[in-house]
Amino acid sequence: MTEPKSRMLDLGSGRPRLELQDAGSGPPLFFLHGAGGVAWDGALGQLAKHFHVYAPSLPGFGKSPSEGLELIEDALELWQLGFDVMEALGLDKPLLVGESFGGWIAAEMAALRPKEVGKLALLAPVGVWRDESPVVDLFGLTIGELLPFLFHDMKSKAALDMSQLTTLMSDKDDRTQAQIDQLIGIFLGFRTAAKFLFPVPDTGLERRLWRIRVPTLVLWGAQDRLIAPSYAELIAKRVKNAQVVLIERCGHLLMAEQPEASAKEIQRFAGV
Amino acid sequence: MQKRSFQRRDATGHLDPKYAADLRLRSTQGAQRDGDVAFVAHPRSRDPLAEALGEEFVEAATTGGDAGTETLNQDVPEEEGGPFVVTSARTEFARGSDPSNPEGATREPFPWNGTYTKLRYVNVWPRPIQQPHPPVWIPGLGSIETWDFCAEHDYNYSYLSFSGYKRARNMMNGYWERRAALGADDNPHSAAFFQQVCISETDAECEKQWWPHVDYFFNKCLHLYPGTSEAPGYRSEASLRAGIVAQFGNTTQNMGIDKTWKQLVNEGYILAGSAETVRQQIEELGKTLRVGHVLLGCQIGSAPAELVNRATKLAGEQILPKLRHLYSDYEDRWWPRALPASRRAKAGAHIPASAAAPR
Repeated sequence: MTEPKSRMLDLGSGRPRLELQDAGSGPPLFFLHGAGGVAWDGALGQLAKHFHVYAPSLPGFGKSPSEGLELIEDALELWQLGFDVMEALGLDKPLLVGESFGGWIAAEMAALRPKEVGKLALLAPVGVWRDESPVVDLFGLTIGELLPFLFHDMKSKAALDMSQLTTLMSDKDDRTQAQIDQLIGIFLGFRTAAKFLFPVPDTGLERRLWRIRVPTLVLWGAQDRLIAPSYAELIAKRVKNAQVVLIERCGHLLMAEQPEASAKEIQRFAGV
Repeated sequence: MQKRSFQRRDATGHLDPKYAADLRLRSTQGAQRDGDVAFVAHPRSRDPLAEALGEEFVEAATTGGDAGTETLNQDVPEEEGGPFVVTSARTEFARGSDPSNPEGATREPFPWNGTYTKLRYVNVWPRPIQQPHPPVWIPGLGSIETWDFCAEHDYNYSYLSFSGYKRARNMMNGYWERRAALGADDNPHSAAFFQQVCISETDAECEKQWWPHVDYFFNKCLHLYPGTSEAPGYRSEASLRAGIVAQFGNTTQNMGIDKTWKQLVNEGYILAGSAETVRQQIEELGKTLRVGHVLLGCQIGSAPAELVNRATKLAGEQILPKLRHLYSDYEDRWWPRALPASRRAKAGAHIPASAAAPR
């Protein structure tokens, strides 16, 4: 993979300023990140070997100023923002891939303007709710408490890497500026996600799923403890042209815990 | 608000049915006088029933009695403009839109077209007796935007903390620096600080008298679940950066949990000892934080009324008079002024008979 390039997108005055990272070459893949932001060391880097990956960061994530969140007043404006970015990039019917929080946005976008999406890959998206399988409240847990809900194998490299964050939560005032920025980044990103998903991440997506007409892949970690894998079938049943793939030995963060398998499934689905 | 109604309740605090009927009658007459055909006077006019209900709510809030919910349910559907009190519209308030002006907001019902809360009629109760309004004090917990808001409107900023004055130094330094940057004056009375105190007759008695109640407060009441104590969205990026250590640090440590009496005293969480010992520390507090107002927490945790009353008396008689000189050369624009004698309530007149009776 070539190193991702980063730039700021100009969406016009009074609009949020967003960082756009892109890498690779090939057919366009428009990626919407989850509550942890854009990371290239997992499946995204793999995908950039076969696609031209475009990954915007929502306000509070990456280099996108958090103040931009004030300019997105409700969920509809968030979904529309997704299309605004696509338009700014000149993307025509791209493969739309969203993970978790971003999977919800991707699904809503495909339901809102179905003709403007080429194909849709939803990776353990949030947005549908069943009382018998409540989605874990990621906004009401400390990082240390949250981690076991994100991974199948807490000894996997991805899980161990993320565990490093918990060591930053100390009473000592000995953090480096980079560590402070990292911590604040987590909070600001979660703030953005919480604006649309707190307290119950049910935005009525289920009632709109029938509007999605494009070929859709619903990809889920078979051991997802944050959002039960049973949601995969539930979503696929309501989308006209959907297929479900469960990835074994995998928790909620598919692209981090099983990067090769996740990338391979997306590639297969896209026929690239 | 011509008539108080404490005697209008039975022993269990329920509204006397005759009084309720009287309220309804008065409201009907009021509506007819105004030429309205509806049973409830039009919400945009002055509405006797709404005012009577407002009075009920204020009374309930101040005495712990029942709010006249049955009366409300029967007579004033929400959308007709009941006595709403809106307290949760922080964003709009901070933006300085018109309702942040207490004069306007507390006199007549107004529509609230907020970003997230929309209310066709907002009718704020209680309305201040003072004209145009008493000085406004804004409680703060560490959001630095509140400093700007207070400076812009010349409101008092009151830093409320259970962690004591020694840990508040950085925060209050930030307050004064911010005021200077905004071109506001350095009047110490523009700031207040909440400090818990344990006052006894002598230093020696203090720990014995107060420790069980201090222990109860810090080790039982103050347990906050860290997962929600700084939930995403509570504070802005600037405030997060300003409070990075306190907010991301070990909450248990910062809140004074699992500390001994000696630690709590030495670290300033509580000011404890005889009146003179506490006085010295309050003086240091006032000087180091540069605050002209100290909100003295004479009650803590499970402290019984008798102990608290004694401490309050000691504070009033032996501490306060000796601290009045501090910053007396600055004008205090934030101290409430008394009403003219003719308009003052008689002492004790507001206490309901049931509360005054011995238990």
